[in-house]
Amino acid sequence: MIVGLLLFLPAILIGWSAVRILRAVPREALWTGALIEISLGAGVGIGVVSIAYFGLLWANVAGRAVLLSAEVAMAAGGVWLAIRRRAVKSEAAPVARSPWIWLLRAAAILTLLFFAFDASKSMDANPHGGWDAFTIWNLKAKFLAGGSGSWRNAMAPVAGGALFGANHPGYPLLLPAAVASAWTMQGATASATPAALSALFAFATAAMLCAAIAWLRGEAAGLIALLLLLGTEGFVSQAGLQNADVPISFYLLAVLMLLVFASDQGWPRGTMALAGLCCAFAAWTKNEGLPFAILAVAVVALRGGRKATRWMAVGALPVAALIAGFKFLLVPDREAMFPRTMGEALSKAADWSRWMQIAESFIQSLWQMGSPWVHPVLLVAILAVTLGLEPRSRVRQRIWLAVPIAGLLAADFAAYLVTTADLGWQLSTSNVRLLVQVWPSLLFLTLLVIVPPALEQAAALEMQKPAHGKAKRKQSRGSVVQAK
Amino acid sequence: MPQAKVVAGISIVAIATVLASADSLQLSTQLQQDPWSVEAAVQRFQGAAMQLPRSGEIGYISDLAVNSAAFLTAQFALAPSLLIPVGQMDPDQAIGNFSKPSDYAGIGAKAGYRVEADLGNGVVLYRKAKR
Repeated sequence: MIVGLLLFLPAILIGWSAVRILRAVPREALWTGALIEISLGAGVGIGVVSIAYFGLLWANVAGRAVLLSAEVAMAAGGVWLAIRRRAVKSEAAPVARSPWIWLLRAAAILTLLFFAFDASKSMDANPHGGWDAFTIWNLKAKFLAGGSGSWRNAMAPVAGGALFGANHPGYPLLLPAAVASAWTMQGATASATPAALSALFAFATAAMLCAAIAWLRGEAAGLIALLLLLGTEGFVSQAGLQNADVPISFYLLAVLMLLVFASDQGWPRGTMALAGLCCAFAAWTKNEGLPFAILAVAVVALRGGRKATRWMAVGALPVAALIAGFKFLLVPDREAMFPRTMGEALSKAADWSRWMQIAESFIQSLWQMGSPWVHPVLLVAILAVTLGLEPRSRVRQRIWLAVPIAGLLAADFAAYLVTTADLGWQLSTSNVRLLVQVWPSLLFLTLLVIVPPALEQAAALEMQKPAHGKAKRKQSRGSVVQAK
Repeated sequence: MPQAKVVAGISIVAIATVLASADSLQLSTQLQQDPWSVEAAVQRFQGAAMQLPRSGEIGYISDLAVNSAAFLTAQFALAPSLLIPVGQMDPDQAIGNFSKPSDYAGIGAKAGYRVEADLGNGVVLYRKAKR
């Protein structure tokens, strides 16, 4: 596991330096800023390495020496540029002085420990990952790592045999390519490597959620967000299974977090470019990332204007071009689960019983996300009652952030409606994981509208700190205080 | 009073999430070891993987249905080679994956293959028979 993690160290350095160079995170000296840079950087770097490896494979030059040189050069160059482009130093972070913060900190440490043990147990039981991991993601990684003679097998329409639902020639390759790049450097297909990547994404998602909410709403709120995520059985159980659902949840959360930062700071180009890049990485992780990315760009066009949209597109374009090339030039077949004619799709969509079955499944899956007495939805309701909600005007200012997530869930619903697979089977094997994909983002949005008790004091302290971004950011921070 | 409400809310959430987390950990200790026998397949096919080419297509012959986990675990174990059920395509070499001892030579002959090596544990290497 340690070796597996070390293999992704260059990727983390590449991503961290990209985040730092683009100045995507508001301030650097606070622990929240540093945690966001590292956790966001981990995902961004893995995406960059995945794309670079796949590009080298396609160009037929993905040897060990070339890959190692490319990663070392990108990491060294990136770190050098990042250090040169040091952000303006800020004053000491405001400390939440609430007397009960120790309770949240202690609970966070405990849940993190339990989470680590949980993921470790899951990896011990499933050393090659869950069903999707060994039939899709790690299998494709093995094909890619095989080099010039076998990498196209990752797009073969027969790799799943005759088992319906096991062939996915067009599934995006962020995860397999990242694992294959590490295996190529390692010179072996060790099962600990994808397990390490799975754990890395899970911890990075938790860290980024905690730090983003802590940055926006204070330490107490950040710790509450962390506790709610790690108290969600549905999410925790996926951490060790090496599926693509936690990684895509990372990129969806990253986009929303960057959009909040950007909207508060006058849509700076570095933040928008990084948001675009994360949108593209979401689409390179799973097909679900595509509707999300389209809707995210659409809401930015409406809220942020032409310049913000342009920079987002600039960030997304290189990866989007590679995805288009992959889908149109390399994938020989289409997904078997989609209907072949519009008439077939419409007849399925017109069946009311399918709507009911899907809606029931979504409710059931939500129920399965946690144990009844400690269910995260119940805990969020308790928080809303005891801490209160943001003023309606403030909630309305943030409601646009929910559009890409709601749109993604609607797209999932529509895909179920028209699927040619047995609907009951498909719902039972995938619906909970769809909720896992959006879960960190839903918690992020929820914690943005629940008022943490330390906010009043924290917000007052925030106003005394020197501004790092543009004037608009100051105004936005001001509006939080005014709204209260 | 509002402060008491806040502390109560925070305390409930902190304690409940720790309990939920502990509950998840307990569930993970009850997980079945290697439920689809993937690791077992990797071990079973280790010898075959060393004798087969590291790329290209390999035929697949079995007494188990192709639409089963047995095929997928064999495919995972032998990747980056691509397994193709014999009949759909007839590559030079094939791998036999059998659940019980049987007439491996006879089964292979029906598909146009001869036994090259019986690696034990239901794993057989075949080569296309010369016509």
